[in-house]
Amino acid sequence: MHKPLAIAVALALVPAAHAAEGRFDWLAVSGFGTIGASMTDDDNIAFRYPFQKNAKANQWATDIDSRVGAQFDINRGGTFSGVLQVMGQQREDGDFSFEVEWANAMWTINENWRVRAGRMVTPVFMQSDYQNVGYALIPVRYSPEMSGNYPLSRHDGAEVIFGSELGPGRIQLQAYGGTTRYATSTLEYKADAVYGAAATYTWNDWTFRASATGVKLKVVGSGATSLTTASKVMAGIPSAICPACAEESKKFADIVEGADGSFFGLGTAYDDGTWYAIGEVGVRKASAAIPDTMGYQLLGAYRWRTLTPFVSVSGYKTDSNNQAVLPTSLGALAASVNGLYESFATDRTTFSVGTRWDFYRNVALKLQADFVDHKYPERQMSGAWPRTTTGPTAYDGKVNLYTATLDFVF
Amino acid sequence: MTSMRKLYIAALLAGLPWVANAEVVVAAGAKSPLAGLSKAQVADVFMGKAKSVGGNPAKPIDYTGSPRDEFANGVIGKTPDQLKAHYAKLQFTGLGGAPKEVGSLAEAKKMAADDPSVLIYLEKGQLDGSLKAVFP
Repeated sequence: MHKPLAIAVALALVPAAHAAEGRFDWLAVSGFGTIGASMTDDDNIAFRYPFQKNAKANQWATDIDSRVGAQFDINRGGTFSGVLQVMGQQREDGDFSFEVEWANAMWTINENWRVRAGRMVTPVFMQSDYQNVGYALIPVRYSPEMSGNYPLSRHDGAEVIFGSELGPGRIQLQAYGGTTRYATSTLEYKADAVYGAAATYTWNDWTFRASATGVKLKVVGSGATSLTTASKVMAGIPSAICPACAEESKKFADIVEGADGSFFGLGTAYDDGTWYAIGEVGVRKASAAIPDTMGYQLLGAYRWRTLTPFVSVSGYKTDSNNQAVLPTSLGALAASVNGLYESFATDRTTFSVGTRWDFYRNVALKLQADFVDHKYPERQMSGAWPRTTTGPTAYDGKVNLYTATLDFVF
Repeated sequence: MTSMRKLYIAALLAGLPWVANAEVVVAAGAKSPLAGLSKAQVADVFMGKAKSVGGNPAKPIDYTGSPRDEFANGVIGKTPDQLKAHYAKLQFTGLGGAPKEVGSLAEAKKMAADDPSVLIYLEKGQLDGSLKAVFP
């Protein structure tokens, strides 16, 4: 795990590695990475990305934000070009492993139209498609309150991009579609369809963006077998004993057969070189056993020489499927069904302060403190905030997350 | 003469950076249809947002030894670090990157003379008959 990171850092720190002469030749090699350390200050709760397995509470973890990516560009800037990007990070099995994040061929038809086909990261929200590139972000990570609305990452398919002058500014329209897979440490999903569109308008220092994405998702693998079994068992329980069972049985069957999800994003950013601000809202309308969610972030930053201090407030809330529904008298069945729903209940408000320091060419150091207030500390939440202890009074709902990252490009 | 000029520029950089910034101009080949660009249009082209200006294709070219900091700070309105972060965003989403960089100003000038879509930036005193200033 540490070897690729070490190599990447060595490359980033050698100024010669940033040789620009090779760019735009038929093949260009570049990369990015983050070495990150983070810790929560509470034994009861840990932090990770929702797709990761391992997380630590009240101890430094270096396998959450650390990642490294290498990119191969073929004929970049040409009429026909290709990109291949592999990235390593901790994934759903807890191992640091490399996967292909981007692999597509693009046809630049003219100065307005571009078409690409292959694998690409889905641009659901304002910073979704470059959230892994820490160097391109001001805080240590893209707001988990935004990215948590759409935990999937990429799709295999096609995208059409149109760009043009419009009024005093410029418009970019993207339409995309494809299929994908997504896994957490407990469930494996298959998306038979991912499709959407985004409109971005830039005018002087302002950027405005609106997007809509639809997903047809189902649970596959061993998780599907368990959910189907649970669905059948619940269907057989009389409503006098379990009033919710009939409905839950249907929801569990639906998530195996295929459920629809819709995602909407609306955001604006301001960047005049000195002041930077971003405000964004994301909404998920789900079905079956997946909760509806809403997230937002507001971040303001000020550039002073090589320092960019920032403050932000962000929030995340679930509107359904986030609490126990079965009577505990149903024993193990209730424990697993209720546990699934309570795992979604990571509703929170997060206040963050930090700074980015561009102390060296192509390298930025960031320090950030997140002050998190969880709304349902009594529930056994999981996802980005796995509880490491059980019991209704073990956690008071307040946790601080401290993170330091070294972000680089080469 | 050259050293006097350097001293002069150094003095300007030290005391009056906005005057030094005014020394950097954006130029196209003398026969290019590109002309009279606004600061925002220059920024859009060099930040990879626009591939044309007023219907004419525009391709930014950089070169070793270009007055990069003055251009970034004075014309684009971002620090070189901020521009790099912006280019990283484009590059690692497969949608572009920093302008192509050639080995010298002479090479960049030749490209501008040969290709009417090429835009370069340079110090005002480095303009010659093969180029025309399009900004400011």
